[in-house]
Amino acid sequence: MPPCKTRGIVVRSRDYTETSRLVNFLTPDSGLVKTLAKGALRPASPLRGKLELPNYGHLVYYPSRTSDLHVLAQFDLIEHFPRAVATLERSAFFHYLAELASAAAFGPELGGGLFQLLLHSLRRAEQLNALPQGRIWFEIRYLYLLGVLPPLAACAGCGGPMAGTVRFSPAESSWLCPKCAAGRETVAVEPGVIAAVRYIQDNRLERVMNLRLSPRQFRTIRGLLRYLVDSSVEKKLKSRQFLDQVVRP
Amino acid sequence: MARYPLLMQRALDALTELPGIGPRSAQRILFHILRERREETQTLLDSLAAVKARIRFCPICGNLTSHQTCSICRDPSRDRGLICVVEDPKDVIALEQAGKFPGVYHVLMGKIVPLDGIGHEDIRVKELLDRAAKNAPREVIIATGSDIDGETTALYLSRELKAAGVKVTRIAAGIPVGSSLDFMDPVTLMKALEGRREY
Repeated sequence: MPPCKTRGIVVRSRDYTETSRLVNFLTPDSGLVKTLAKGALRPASPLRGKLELPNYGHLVYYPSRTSDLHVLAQFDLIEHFPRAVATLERSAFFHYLAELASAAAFGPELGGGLFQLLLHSLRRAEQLNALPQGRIWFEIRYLYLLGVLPPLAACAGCGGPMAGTVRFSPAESSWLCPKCAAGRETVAVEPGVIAAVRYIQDNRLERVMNLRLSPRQFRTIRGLLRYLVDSSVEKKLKSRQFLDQVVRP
Repeated sequence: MARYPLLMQRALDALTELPGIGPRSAQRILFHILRERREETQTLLDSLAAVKARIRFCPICGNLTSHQTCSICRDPSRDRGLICVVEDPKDVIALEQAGKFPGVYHVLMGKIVPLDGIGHEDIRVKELLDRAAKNAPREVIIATGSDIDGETTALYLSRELKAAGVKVTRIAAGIPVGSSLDFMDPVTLMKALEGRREY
């Protein structure tokens, strides 16, 4: 088979044998591409030192006919992001973003959006002076791309405006007004939370960095996003525990 | 189809469990053992059994030893105010072969790998912090690998040790001796430039 050429961000890289590495790339046109980089750990390998998270570059690989593990032939750096991993907090943050993006990057359509989102976040690494806000910003866009972020404009039951204390229905993954929520299993969410989520969804990362939320609003948004992320990726996100340990709101 | 006797097949299966040994290598090793004299094979078996029975981890630094503590921790000429933190006992051997380090070691037995769910509680970080609190070292040198997990581990250790008032340094990263710049990748070159020193 002829080699495939594309661009990709390293989202996973680990030793396979004494000389080879398993490297996963998030690509704009093929979603998640899993490769075996043979001989990448040899001192004279042209791949040595390049296959680290979150490097971005041109890759050439030979697709496998029998499995989803392809053979990496070449990787040339386009950009690397030293600021993204310069501090413990940012490193933990971008590990989480890489795992989250690769957890749902099936196929070209979704993969392309997630690739752009991750690349955009990496390029703005130096502006990430408030990681809890940055995390919410990323998760909201992530859920939006996956199509699982409940619409914020109106009640999912009656279509009417959401005033006062709205409620969230985990079973239906939607916002409901108090009237429609009657008799359903829901949790109460104060109006400030809806406004904050809407603000984060509508604004650029730089503006969201300056957003001030009360501890209670933070907890509510984080809890809601955590629930939506968990129900959409259907796997345990291993890097999240580390992120929660090193970054506290 | 011809098959090996059951005893040989068991030995082949056990050998192929070893890292880097496939069926062909296992076959080669087994036939070599069969050709060897009984005493030579016995020496191999005895030494392997002795390693398994007597080699343990040093309770102070985590290095390999057949005594209560390792030879480096027993050595009175070693500078106990200088601790070099490494990932693996193999790293101690590599640094000792360089022959210039006068201090003592601390072996982490791994590194923090967030994407595998391996955190600081899974490696010997607590032992290092306890040791630093007890012995008040002059300097702790972090010599974990320069891959992303090694760097993450170094960042974590640095944060925790600095909070305990310990001076922390990191080994230099850059161009290997004997290589030329035009073969270097941009990341290595950037690290080499960042880590430059007065000459």
